[in-house]
Amino acid sequence: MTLQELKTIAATARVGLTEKEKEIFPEQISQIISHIQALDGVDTHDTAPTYYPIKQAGFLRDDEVEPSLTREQALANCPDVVDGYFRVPRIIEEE
Amino acid sequence: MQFNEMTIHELRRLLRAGEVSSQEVLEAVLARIDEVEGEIGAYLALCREEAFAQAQRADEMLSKGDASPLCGIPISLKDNFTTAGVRTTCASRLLENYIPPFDAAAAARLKEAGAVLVGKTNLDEFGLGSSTENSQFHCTRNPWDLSRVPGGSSGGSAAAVAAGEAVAALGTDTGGSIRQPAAFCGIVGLKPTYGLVSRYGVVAAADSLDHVGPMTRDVRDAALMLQAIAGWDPKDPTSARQDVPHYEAALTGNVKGLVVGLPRELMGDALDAEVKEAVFGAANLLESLGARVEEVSLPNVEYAMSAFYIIISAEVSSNLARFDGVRYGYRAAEAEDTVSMFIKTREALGQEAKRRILMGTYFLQAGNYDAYYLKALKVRTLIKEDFEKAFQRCHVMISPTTPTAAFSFGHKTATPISMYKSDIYTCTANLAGIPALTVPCGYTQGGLPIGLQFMGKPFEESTILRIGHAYEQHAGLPVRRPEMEVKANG
Amino acid sequence: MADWEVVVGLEIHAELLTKSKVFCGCSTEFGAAPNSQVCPVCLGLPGSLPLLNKRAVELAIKAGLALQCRINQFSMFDRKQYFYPDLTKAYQISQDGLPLCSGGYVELLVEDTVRRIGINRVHLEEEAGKSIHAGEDIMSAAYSLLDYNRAGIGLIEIVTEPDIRSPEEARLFLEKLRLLLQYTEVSDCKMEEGSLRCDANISLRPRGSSAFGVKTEIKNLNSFRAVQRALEFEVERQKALLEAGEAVLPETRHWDEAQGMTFSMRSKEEAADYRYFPDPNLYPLKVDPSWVEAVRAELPELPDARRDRFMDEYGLSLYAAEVLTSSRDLADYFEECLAEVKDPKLVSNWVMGEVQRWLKAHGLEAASSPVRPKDLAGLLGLIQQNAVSNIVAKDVLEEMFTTGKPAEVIVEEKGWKQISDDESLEAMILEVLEANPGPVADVKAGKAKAIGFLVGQVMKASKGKANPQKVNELIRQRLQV
Repeated sequence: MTLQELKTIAATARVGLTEKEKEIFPEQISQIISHIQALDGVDTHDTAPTYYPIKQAGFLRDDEVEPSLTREQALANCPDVVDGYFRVPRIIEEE
Repeated sequence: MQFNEMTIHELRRLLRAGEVSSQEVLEAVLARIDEVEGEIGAYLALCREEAFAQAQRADEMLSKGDASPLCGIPISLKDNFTTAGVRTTCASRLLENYIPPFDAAAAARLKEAGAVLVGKTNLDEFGLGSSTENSQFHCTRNPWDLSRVPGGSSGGSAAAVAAGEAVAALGTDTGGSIRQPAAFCGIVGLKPTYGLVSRYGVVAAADSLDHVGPMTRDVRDAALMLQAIAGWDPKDPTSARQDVPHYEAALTGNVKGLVVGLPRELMGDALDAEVKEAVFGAANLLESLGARVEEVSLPNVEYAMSAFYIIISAEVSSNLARFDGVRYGYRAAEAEDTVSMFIKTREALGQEAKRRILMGTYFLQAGNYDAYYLKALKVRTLIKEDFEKAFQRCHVMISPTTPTAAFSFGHKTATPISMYKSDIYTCTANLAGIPALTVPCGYTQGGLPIGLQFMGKPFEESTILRIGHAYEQHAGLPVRRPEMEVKANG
Repeated sequence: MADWEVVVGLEIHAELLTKSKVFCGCSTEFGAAPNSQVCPVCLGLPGSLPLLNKRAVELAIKAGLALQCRINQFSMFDRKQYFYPDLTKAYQISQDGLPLCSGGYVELLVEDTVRRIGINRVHLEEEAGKSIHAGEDIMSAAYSLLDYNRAGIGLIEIVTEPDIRSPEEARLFLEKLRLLLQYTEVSDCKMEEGSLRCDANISLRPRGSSAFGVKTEIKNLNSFRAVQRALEFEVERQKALLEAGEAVLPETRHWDEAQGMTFSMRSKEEAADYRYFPDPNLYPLKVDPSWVEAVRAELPELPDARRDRFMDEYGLSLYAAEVLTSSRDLADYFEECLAEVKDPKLVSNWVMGEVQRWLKAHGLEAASSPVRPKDLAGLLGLIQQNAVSNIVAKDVLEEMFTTGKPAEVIVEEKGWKQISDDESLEAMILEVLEANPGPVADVKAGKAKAIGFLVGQVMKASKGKANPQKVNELIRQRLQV
């Protein structure tokens, strides 16, 4: 993996990298990828994927309103609160 | 013996008999913490005041004849269980000051049972690591040798129990994070079947691999802890609607007729000679107790680590994405817009967390999904099938818990893959969702504990607890506690 | 100049009418104080886990049935991953590979022909929160405020096939879709509250070609009218490009209502890779046929079926049947009244005419009409018994709307009972005939039309209370025509 590829992925994942990380990650990640390429040799032609470790039936909740947090609780951990809202710097992209 | 060094069941007897109070036990634990914590560094936070209040309540319950075995027992929690009103950091700067508004289900059940929560223990950031060196706050030392790691990611919980800083603890296990540190610290660790214990309130690393389980001084304690936390929870959508048996009743000491599988692929070259010898020794002992040991095969298990790594990274990249500084936790100052705020905030993550996020993001990209993620899920199927097949021939399987005993600080941090290999014997049980237990099975010549792993069929915790307990009772290991040269504190 | 065919596909998001959110128990009530309807799950707090709301699944199934979809017995939830401050987990729980419903259609009546618009899929997902930008617009705002009350409300996303062939057809489709979702009580479809939203994909191709042209996606469409206008604008814009030999760029465009134009937002090449993968927290959703049947049993008669029945059973015209079934309330209103009056023609005329007129003027729906179907039946009964004339009946209805009194009471109090007895009428007729010798002569000379004038004069003299048929009859007798 090149540094450029790494930077692209880091941008997608919104992760800032330190200079040190930019230096060591490409090599480390390349090693990991080459290691896991061992899987290429496994024949999974007729194999279905396992998404869940144990087969279970999903549980459905009844449509009942339960108490929410208080506003104080909801906002308690937010670094920037204004008038009962969470505040963030300007949003420069649309959804 | 000091109260803080006793097992839950020993203390249960004394507490019920009124020979000791919960507050006295707590005092002993806190005294020990004051004595050794400076060396060990097991905790990220202590809850002294709350703990005393809980101990007082426990004493009242005990005086009324409360029968819960955990009543009045000082227990610690890995700091990735949310605790209402108590800081929960996951050893990450991103959550340095995060105070959750709710209790994790397992923590709540322990509280209900009358347990006393001493504090929150150290871990690798977000549970990602095998040495607790990835904690962003401090390292935890192995009580058996302070130059060595306690294992991870539940290293703080393991060290606390081993060093007498808690009677028992809860950990989480995504690829071995309960069992590997338990083995390194010479205690018992149990990863139950996926779905048996609620994950509600556990800060997720990888939802399909995360498990909650006890870390204790012996197998009986593990059974008592499991009893308190197991069972269906409507707040966890993956919680199993399964009857919970009486685990302590399963500890009969009798293993006659049990067929024990010894997977040949887990006894391979990577294995340290001393560890290998200990496992074969254990197999011989089990035979002498009337079990039949048979070699079995898990042909795809050699691919487990790679499949595991892809799946955990993919899920981690998704689960850690929410730590963006908007609603809670650390937020990088002076960002002009939200994109740069996200990037700068998340720059504060540690290296291992970043590596997994980057890898996971890579594996899930449109062009890579099939080759990596989907492929790993298919290999997961093959590994599950291997276990199913092997379990047609045996009741339980045994293997080493780790390839080596505890390693030194800094030994594996430079090469991530060597660190990941610490989990090669444990991560298979996470992929398959099956229960697995580690029990001490000897010591290296250097005096470091070695762990023996028992793996069972889904929801057959009783069986592995039974055989683990029988082994423990007959192994005749010298009862050892880590001898620490503790400098007087303060 | 080439003849261009317009190809449009729509993606519609509709909020489900559940009491609680789709993965937690927070209320979905609109208009609460910001961040007062949030909990660890919808705030994405660490350690929280999603708990699927059964009713949300049922409403999505209902929508699927109303849109003639196949309800898949096995569907899965996936994480759609992107970073945005209103998305609390940095992923939206949605359905990508295996949606709950697939392969349906909606039939539209376009200029007396039935057009069938294919539905590709209906899937279940969750709402994001709401961001409020301080400042003129998103770009100039120094900061934004976030309210997560909406985060986690259940949504269905409906994706059509590219079967729509004109901007007008797009609007008609949306109207029909809204009708269906409101009929089935799946969603209240209030665009102004954001409970219904629509994005449109549009491309042009030479008529007769089967290949698709390059499409653009249009966002920020806040009304059905906006959808039509934006598409009309886009048709012209793309046509101009194509005819000038230039390429249409595959991009997302933003509709500016005030300027009546679309603007480029981002090109599709840089479109996000959402890195979908199955959410390990949510087991596959299994919907067995008996559950589908139970939901089907909850479905009301759907508008198309009801329209056809109104024509068959009540002999109404296509137009009348279409209007009366254009909302469930109105159709219910009509049928409740009809149950008592038993004259479809009479009831439909009054419901579509006077009643609708008054309700529209007062911004009300049939369901909230102060004159209930029973009350209207009382009035129409008086008409049937010749107790009031049609003209007076209109005044009676107006009175009923404003006072809430029953028709009979109003007629009684106001002395508006129709005069049908020969004696009273004869007197008035004599006066009118004497006062209008000219028209009388005309009638006698065979100009039948003049009778109408004389009848009108009598009606006027009676202040509308005379029975016009009776008057007509008596005048003819007297003048021997």
